[in-house]
Amino acid sequence: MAVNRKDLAAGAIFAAFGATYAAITWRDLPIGEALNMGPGYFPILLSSLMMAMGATIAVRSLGSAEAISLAAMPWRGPLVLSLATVLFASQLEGLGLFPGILATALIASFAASPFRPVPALLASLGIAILCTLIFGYGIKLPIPIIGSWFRWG
Amino acid sequence: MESIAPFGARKGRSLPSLVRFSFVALSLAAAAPASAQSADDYPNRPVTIVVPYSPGGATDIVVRAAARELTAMYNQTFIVVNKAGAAGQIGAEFVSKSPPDGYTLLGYPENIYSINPFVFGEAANAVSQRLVPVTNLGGSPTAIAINTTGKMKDVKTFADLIAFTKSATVPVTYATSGVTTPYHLLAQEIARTAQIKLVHVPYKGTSDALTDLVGGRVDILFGAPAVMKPMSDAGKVRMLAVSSAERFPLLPELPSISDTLPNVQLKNIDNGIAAPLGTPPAIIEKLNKAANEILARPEIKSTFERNLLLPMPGSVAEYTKRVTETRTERERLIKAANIGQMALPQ
Amino acid sequence: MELLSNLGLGFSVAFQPMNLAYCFLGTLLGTLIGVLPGIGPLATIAMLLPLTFGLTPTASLIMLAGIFYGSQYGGSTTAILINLPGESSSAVTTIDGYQMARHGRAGPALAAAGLSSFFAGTVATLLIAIVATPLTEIAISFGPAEYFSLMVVGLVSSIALASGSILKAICMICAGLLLGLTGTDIYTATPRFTFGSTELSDGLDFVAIAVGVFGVAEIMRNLEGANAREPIIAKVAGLFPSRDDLRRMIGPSIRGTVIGSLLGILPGGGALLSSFVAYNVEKKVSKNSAEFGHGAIEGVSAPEAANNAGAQTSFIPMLSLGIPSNAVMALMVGAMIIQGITPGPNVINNNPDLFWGLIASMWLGNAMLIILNLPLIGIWVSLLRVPYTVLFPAIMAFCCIGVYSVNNSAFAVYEITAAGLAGYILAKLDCEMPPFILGFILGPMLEEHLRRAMIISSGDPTVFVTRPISAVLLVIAVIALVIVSLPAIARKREVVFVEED
Repeated sequence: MAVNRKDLAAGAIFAAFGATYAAITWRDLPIGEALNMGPGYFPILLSSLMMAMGATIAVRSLGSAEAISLAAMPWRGPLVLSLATVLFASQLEGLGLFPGILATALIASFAASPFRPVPALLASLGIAILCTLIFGYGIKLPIPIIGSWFRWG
Repeated sequence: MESIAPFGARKGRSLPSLVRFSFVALSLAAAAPASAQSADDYPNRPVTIVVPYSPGGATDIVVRAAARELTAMYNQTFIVVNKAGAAGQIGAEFVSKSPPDGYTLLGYPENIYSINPFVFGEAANAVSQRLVPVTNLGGSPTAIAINTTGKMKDVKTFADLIAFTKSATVPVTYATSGVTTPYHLLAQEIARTAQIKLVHVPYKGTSDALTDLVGGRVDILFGAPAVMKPMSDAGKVRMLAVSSAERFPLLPELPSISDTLPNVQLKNIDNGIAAPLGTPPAIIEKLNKAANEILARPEIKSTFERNLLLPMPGSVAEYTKRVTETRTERERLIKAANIGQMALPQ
Repeated sequence: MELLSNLGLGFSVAFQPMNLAYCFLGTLLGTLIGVLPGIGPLATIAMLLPLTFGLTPTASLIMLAGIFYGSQYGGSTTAILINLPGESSSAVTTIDGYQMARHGRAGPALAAAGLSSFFAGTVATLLIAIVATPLTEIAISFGPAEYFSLMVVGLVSSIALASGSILKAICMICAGLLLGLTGTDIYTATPRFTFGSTELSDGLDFVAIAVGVFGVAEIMRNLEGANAREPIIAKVAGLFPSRDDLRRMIGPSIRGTVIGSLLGILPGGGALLSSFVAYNVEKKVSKNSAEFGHGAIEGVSAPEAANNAGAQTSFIPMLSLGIPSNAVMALMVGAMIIQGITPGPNVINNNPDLFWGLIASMWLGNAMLIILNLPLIGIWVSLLRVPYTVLFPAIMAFCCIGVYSVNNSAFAVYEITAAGLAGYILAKLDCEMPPFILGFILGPMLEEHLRRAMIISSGDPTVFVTRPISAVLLVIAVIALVIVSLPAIARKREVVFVEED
């Protein structure tokens, strides 16, 4: 008997997700009945199923044939890439298309280890120029090429 | 096209001056000139018109047609941007918070002022209060159509429909493009006044509903006449009446429902243009005049009429009055239908 | 032969130099926007619509149609090369297409996608020409009960999409179904799972979610370890399919075409299902089913044939009834109206030159696409030689800007962030994404049709078995369920599961 930690974690996540959705549904949405379904009917069905399945996966993982440990989770890549997308979403309108893409690509480059500043900067510049040409001048997205932050007044 | 100022203009955030300085060279090429608030040289840079729905709908069609003519008239680009979502609230809210300088306008579907404030709560109401009408463009009444082959094959008029529904042994169903749409409100009003029972089947759009009407799975369809007309011409559905108090000039053969049910009517669903509150009246007047000029052009007229949208010229005062009247009418219908606050959570 | 004279008329229209030029322009634009994530045919057609006012109605429709089916071609390119489905229809192509690319077989995978699509496009065009009118009867006979049963078939077969644990696959489907319900309930206007956000009141954006769980999560995995792992392990071996590859593509292309053509006719979202169903059918009937999920060329051919056939036949309800089967078709209806043509049952009689010219141009467009795309394969594949440290920031930038442009909304870009992180963590726990994505697409439709069917039947659940088409579909669903849960297959799945680690 051994523990499959991957399945244990997956089962726990599914069960927790199901439970959260079931709780929200129960609190906010009328369930109705099979012949007259309310907006909560389908969600409560699915979230209950998910809770049950998640719990089953977790319980079965405790009696696994072989022990499987969690693979290492290097957090640098995911965190840096998430930061890059969040920065893009929150600052695009202030920065403008060209600086926004330059910053996003540059920050994303930090996710690679080792990070080499000069090639990363050059690559990001190239990406920003390319994207500005395609999206700014080609597709004419309604975003200023240079945002209001870089203006007087 | 390098720059469209309204996006960033309201965000007066400051960066360290050194950074700002270093970007001066770049920004000089792109930045828009500081906007003069006078109407004489308006527009001196591109104007953005936000359509709060996806491409292809009535609001999108009239605004794009108008934008094309305005661009030619002023030799200045009028850009149409679709910002769809939350029954138009996302785009409307964006414009309501934009600088009131005439360079960000809203394609103005009627539900923004006449329905959303009463079903989506205070935030939606606040958005509608921060918008002022500029010009109406085009609108159409609601039409009522039935399936021609099924149990209602002998129903030829709107009066027949009421009589049929009164004596029906199985529930009569009607389709609309959704809960709290004007179509839904009209159907409820008819059911109340005529004292008949109608079962609502909501769809995501009138086209979806039309398929089920042709297939005989629902009995009645309430929706925009432009969507039903082709099927009606082909004899697959029968259009019975329109919702306006008078006949609709583009479909003169259809009677008004108020011929059968006096006092029951639904004002046309208008699509116009609005501006953020505080926009200089001179600019609003200028845009309104330009729009009226455009609406008289034959190519615009024919584009609208092919979509069964009646061009609606008129002064700012006339449009504002119309907005208020429509709002009052829909508010009464919503209260009467006992549709509570659906509340987009805010 | 009326058909021949009709086609003759069509080709004489389509071969007019202007129409030919706009057909080429449309397919070229379509290919390009298909490659860019986010920028879809809908946004492109909306932007180009004003430019078509000056054209003849036929030329403008030929160009707009070209953009639509061209984007289906382009969408599979990024799916294969960098695990990024540009369109919902190419989500399935990532499963085996990306694996082929990782094994150095990006060239054959792209060629398989192109050739299968061309085959499917040719057959589907012919199908439209021969049986467009009778086929519309099928579209009309599909009501909520039939759609619900069809979605059940899709749901059951989606379990087969997974190569790992069935329980986990079911959980991922449920998660997809639940997240798909985010937004305003169409029957009561009640907001569901929107957490107080106006932006969520129309639901999560499909493109953002797909870009996150497939594209961004994959980059995160590739960046693990001390050195950025080059995701393409094997050397690129040969650009074009071998004779054996070609032989293996024939069956899947034919089956994919049949499935795609039939499902494409249904206006209620059938086309979305076609690539998933074609993939699952192939996985069941193929001799090489063990190879699926590890780079089977059949797993590229079948869904690509299906989605292209579906793209072509989805014109049928639009042309013959005026009923648009998706948002792009709705815009085409708008384009016709602007041009003074009333879409509907009368188009074929009133505007035969337009009707047949458009159909003929679709075949020409497909031919142009294959001529355009085969030489491009070399260029696409050489893109993989770009160092990954340059490639991945570029992909990130393109994803962000592309998703932003879908609705000019920053909110969708946050959705990428969340979906990317969730996709990465779940992938580390051996949970697979294709069942999730199918659940996400099906969830809202399944519920919509179920509840509508119940309203129309006044709460009588027997409609699903008393209506013949619905009953047949439910029987198919039961058979599929039995096949999925057969012990022999379950054992094979375990083997595949072990092999993978």
